Amino acid sequence: MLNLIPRPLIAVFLCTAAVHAQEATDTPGASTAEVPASETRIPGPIADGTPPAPAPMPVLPPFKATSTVVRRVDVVEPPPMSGLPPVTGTITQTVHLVEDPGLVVPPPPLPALPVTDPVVQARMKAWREKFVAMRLAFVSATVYDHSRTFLRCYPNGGADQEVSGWSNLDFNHFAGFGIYQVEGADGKIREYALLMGIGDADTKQLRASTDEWLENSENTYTPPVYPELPDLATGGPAFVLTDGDTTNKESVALIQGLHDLYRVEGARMASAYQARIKAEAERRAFLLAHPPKPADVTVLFWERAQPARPVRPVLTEGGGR
Amino acid sequence: MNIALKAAHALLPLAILAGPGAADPAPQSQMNFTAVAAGTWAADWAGVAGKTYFFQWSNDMVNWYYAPIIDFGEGDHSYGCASTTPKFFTRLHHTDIYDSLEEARSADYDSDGLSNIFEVTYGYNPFQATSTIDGPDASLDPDGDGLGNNTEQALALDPMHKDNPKVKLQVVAY
Repeated sequence: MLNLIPRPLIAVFLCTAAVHAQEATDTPGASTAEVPASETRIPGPIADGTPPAPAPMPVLPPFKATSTVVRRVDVVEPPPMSGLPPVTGTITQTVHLVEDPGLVVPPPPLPALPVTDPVVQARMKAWREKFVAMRLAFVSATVYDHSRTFLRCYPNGGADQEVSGWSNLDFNHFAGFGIYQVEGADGKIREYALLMGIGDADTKQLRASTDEWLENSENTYTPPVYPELPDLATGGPAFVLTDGDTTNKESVALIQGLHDLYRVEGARMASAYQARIKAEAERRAFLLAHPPKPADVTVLFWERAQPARPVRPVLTEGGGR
Repeated sequence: MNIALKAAHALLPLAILAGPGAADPAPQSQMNFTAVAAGTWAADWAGVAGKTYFFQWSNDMVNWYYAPIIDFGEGDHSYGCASTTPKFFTRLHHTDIYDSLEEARSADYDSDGLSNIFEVTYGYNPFQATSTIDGPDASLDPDGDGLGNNTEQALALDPMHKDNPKVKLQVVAY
C-alpha cells in the first residue's frame, strides 16, 4: 500500500450530474442515464448515532427465599466504548434459593403448516409477486484522507469476479445501513445487501509513523497515487477501475450502482455520517466525565417440579455431542 | 475453563461439550432452556444414572460461580433461574465419582473440611480449597463474627449472619 503503483487505466466511468443525462448503455466508457430517484434508494433508515431505547431492566418475580447469600465481589467489565478504561468496581452479589414461584410455562410454538396448505400457498404466491432478488455486495474500502477510496468489490462474494479501483467518494458514508437498491442500466431494479469492510488511512500520519523506521533503511515512503478523478462537488460521484474484468457486467454494475446510489442519497448518507461522528464524540466525553460503575447482581434459583419442555434424550453414540 | 479436574469429571458448558478425558465419562445431553413467564428461565436436562450435577452461573462467561444446587441420577431435572443482569449464562458440571445424592452433598471433594453442599450453598467452589483470592474457603469469615467457615459448619450456623462467639464456643474438647 505504501508503494502503490498506478496500473494502466482500463476504463473510466463517470457518473454525470443530473443535468447531463445521456443514453444509458452497458459498456465501459459510457455515461449512465439519469436514474429515477425513487428507484435508487436506501429503503430503510440510516443510523445517525441516535442511541436505541434502553432494554427494559429485568424484573424479578415475587419470591420466597429459603436461603440467601450476599457477597461483595470485585469485578472488571469491558469498557462501553473502545479506547476507554474498563469498568471496575465492587458489586453486591446476592444469590437466593427460593421456593418455586409456580410460573406458567408459555405453550410451545405451533408446528409449521405444510407447504401444501392453502394459507401457505397464498402467502408464497404473494411473496413471489413482489420478490426482488437480493445480491450480496462485498466491498473492501480503504479511505485515504476522507477524499479518495480504494475499492475492491466482489459481487456475491465471488473472488474471481473482483474488480478494484478508485473512487472520489468517502466510503465512510456507506456505513449505517445494510440494504440498498439501484436501477441498473438495463432498467431492472437490483437490491443489494452491503457487506463492507472499511479502514481509514491518514497519509500524513502514515508518513510520520514510517519516517523513523525508514530512516535507517534504504526504503522510502511512497504515498498512494490517485488516478485522475473529477472533483466530487463539481463532477459528482466518479470512479476508475484499475484491475479486474471490466467486461463482467455484474462486477461493473456493483461498483456503478454504489455511485448511482450516492448521487441520489449522498446528502442523507453524509449527514448521517456526520451525526454519528458527533454522537460518538459526545458519548465518549460523557463517559469520561461520568465513568460507569458495574451494577449489583441478584440471582434466583429454584427447583421445578417438572421440565418446561421434553428434555433431550441422552445420546449414547456418535461424536459431536 | 478447567476441564481436567479429574478423569471422571466433565464440564458441560451452555453451548460446548467438553472433550473426552483419559477415561470418558458417560454421555450427557445438553440442557434445554425455555423462557418462562416474568423473564425467568427453566433449565432442564435428562439425568444419567450415577451422575452428580453441579450448576454454575456467570454474567460474563469468564467468572463462574456455583449455584446452591446439587442433583443426582437419572430422570428429568429442572431448575428455574432468573437474574437482574442482561447477560446470564449457566452450565452443568457433572461427575461420576459419587454413588448417591447424600454422598455427593456430604462429601468434601477438595478436602478443605467443608462439605460440597456447604460450599455451593454459600457460593464457594467445592472443587477448590481456595475459591477466592481472600484465602482458603475453610478459614474465611464472611460475616465477620470471628468464626471461620469450618467452625460455622461444625456448629451448624449460618456463615452469612453474625453469631455470638461467646455463646457458641462452649464446646469443650476432652
